[in-house]
Amino acid sequence: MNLQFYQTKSVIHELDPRLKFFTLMLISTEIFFIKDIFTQILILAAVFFCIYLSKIPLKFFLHSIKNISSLIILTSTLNIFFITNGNTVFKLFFIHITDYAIMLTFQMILRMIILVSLCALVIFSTPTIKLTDALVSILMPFEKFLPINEIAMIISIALRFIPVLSNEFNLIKKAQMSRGINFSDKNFINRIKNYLSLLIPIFVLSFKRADNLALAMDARCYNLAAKRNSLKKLKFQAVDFIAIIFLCIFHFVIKIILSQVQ
Amino acid sequence: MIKFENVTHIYNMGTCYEKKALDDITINLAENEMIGLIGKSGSGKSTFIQHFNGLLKPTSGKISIDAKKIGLVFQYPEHQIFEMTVENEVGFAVKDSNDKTKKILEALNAVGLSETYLHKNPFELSGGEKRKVAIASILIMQPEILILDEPTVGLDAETQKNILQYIKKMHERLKMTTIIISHDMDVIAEFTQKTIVMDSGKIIFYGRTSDAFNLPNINLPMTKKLAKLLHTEKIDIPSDIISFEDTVKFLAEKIKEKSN
Ligand SMILES: Nc1ncnc2c1ncn2[C@@H]1O[C@H](COP(=O)(O)OP(=O)(O)OP(=O)(O)O)[C@@H](O)[C@H]1O
Ligand SMILES: [Mg+2]
Repeated sequence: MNLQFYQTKSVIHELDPRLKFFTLMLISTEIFFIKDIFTQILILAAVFFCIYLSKIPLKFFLHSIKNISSLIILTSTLNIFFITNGNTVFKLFFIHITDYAIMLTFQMILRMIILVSLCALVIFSTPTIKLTDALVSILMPFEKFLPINEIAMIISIALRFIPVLSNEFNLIKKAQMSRGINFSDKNFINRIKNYLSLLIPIFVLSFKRADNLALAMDARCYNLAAKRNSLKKLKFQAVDFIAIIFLCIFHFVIKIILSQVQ
Repeated sequence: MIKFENVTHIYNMGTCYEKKALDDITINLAENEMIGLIGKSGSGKSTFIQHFNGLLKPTSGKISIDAKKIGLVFQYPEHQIFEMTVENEVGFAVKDSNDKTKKILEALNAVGLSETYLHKNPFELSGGEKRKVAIASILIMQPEILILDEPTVGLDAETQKNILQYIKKMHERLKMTTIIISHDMDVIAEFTQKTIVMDSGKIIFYGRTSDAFNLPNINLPMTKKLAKLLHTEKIDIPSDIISFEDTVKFLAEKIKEKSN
């Protein structure tokens, strides 16, 4: 539900957001190519070690994992019943489950958990401003073709207003319910009409807010065409280099393990 | 009967954003009175009132209310406006019937809007008028308990008074239990007989409004500030006189006595 920055002081928080972004990309592509279960467990362990380093309470991550649990359950059931290669370990009427299917399903669950916890770790440990900065500097090489500053502005405004909008949505829904508007009306047409009582106020408020924001930006002489730089330039620090070294060693170890397996 | 027994409400129970907003609340509210609800920002006032009509369910505890219709007016109710005419807006949640227009008119009149407003576009009204339309769209349900969450926040002083006076008039006419949340002690002193004081999820006081102002660390209305100043000048105003009108009456009596 709430993906939010968790304020605390830790090594992970201090890392350069670009490095975090890059690692996230790297690991999330890698785990789909790595088929060795031991290596996957190793990566998961490494992720959880980073979580430990980040000093963010574990329950935040468990909560994120819980949020996708229905997805995990759905895909695992599909996997288990429809993969038919390998030795059958269980058979009942038309259901038959193979050891290969169990193994693949387990691996898939591991992958999802790694992916979600790593994403959560990046989001929890990086303020949205830094995330946008990192995105901008990653996109910088494409400056010729992409309106990068505009993209950055849109993303940061959007991120800033998601919680506000969701709050507003809940409040207006409650207000309309209190005056007897039924959002689970049996009649489909009525239900749509009733949902209009939610959408219209939200739009009205959002446009008003956009208007005010535009005025405020104008008042501070915001100019889209201006060349922009930031007060705090992203710069690799000692921690980042140490982290890179660890990342390399970790990959080296994985390489060795993988070559042994084959 | 409006009864809360050991009611606790915890937001986002079982997640990392757990927050106890109501803490073991037990209260038995008097009926047919105007009741003020005051307390610092974040003390749980809005959470408390959302339990009256079931928008929020208590995490633990028991609530018994024997009224069927409970009207809840949220902060900035004009944000919920969405229809193109005042008539449709106020009548949206009412079943079509012969006396629908009559009901709408009654609701509008109760907040001081006349027939001429029926076909106006609510989005083009002034802030105060919008708020009145929004309040009317709750009143049309003919609630037996009316709850208003800061009904006058963000309006000019005159409109504030005007809206509250209409609410008071309606209360005197229909005698429905009315709860008003406000940060304005003058409003509380002027319009309520009883007051609930909340602090960090607990009800720390429930009783006569005049007694509430004897609590430590409470903001005082103008009348009480005046009484305090006059006290240093050796003029004592009885502590149960808190409304502006009563204070003036009392002082006028005093002055007449003196001059005789
Ligand atoms: N939807 C929600 N989710 C999580 N926490 C909430 C939610 N709504 C309120 N809270 C928290 O519950 C506590 C009580 O909030 P509440 O809105 O009831 O206070 P209030 O007395 O109405 O304050 P105010 O005078 O500012 O309106 C606050 O600490 C608030 O942060
Ligand atoms: Mg409130």
